Amino acid sequence: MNTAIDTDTKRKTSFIGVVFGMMAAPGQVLQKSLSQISWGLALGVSGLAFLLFFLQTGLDLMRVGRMGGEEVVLLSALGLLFGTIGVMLVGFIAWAGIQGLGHKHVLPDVLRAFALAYSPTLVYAVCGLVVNLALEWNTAVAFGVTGLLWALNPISATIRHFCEEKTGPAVVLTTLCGLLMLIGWAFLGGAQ
Amino acid sequence: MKQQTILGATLLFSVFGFLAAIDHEAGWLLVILSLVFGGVGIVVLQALLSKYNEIVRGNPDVGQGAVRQGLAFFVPFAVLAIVSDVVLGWHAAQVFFSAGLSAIGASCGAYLMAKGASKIGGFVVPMAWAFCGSAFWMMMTVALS
Repeated sequence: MNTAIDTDTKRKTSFIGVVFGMMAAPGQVLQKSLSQISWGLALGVSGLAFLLFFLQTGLDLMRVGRMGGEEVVLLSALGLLFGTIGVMLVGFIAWAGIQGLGHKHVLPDVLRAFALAYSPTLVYAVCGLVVNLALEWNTAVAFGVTGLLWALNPISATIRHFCEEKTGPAVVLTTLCGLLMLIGWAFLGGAQ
Repeated sequence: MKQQTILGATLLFSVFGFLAAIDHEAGWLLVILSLVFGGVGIVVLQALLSKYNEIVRGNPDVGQGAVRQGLAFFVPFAVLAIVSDVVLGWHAAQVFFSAGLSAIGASCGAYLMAKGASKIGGFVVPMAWAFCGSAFWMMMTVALS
């Protein structure tokens, strides 16, 4: 019984540790812990981040009468897909860019690192949802887009990590990935 | 500090000045302010890094490398802010600017820490600079609106 509780606590601690680690020092997490991080945890971070982000978008639109309850649920489900399949597609583009620049890395490592890079988005989405529900403020842009932008730092660290710390390619690929995610959210959720 | 770095910072910061100017009556003042902020802000960052990091005092190239790397990672935020404003029609340059300044701080920090700087000098100082810069810009845009 105690062992089960200890294991559970350890699992929770490691999830929170990875999320805040990716926010504060993404390079260290990628160097030390990437191989120990499962697909479930990595995609759980990005999937949950975008689910909550899209949920806030839906709640904001519902508050002004532009969306019903069912549509909010559908939009949240779309967020989950965007945070998993969408993030993997963008990660694939980044991997192709990294390969194109002559750095050979395994696709699953890049995809897991990419999904984890959305840790700041998850933290902002959780905070935004609390504010959205408690104070009934519109939070999709203030918290959601801010979280999306804060993910650019771990993304650039991820690309730098896989490009042997080269700055130029990291800047170009970070800009491209940031644009894809921002425009993707705008057309799927934000611009409705 | 190399003039190209100061010029680069001035140009990048001015992007946000122009974007902020769209919504403000005192727009031209914001543009001038952003140009000055870019140039002076980056010199201040370099001076702070030098004051609080022995490794930068010993080798100024390390400080310049950190600032250059930080500025490079400000570029995606400037591009996204332009796209967001011009293509998507969101006038939220402040959000992009704050996140971008933090990226400068974090990238500077990562560079310095990799070179063996202390946590205070290498990480806390550039992040504190980013926080103060962000607060300063926010106050300026509000005060001039």
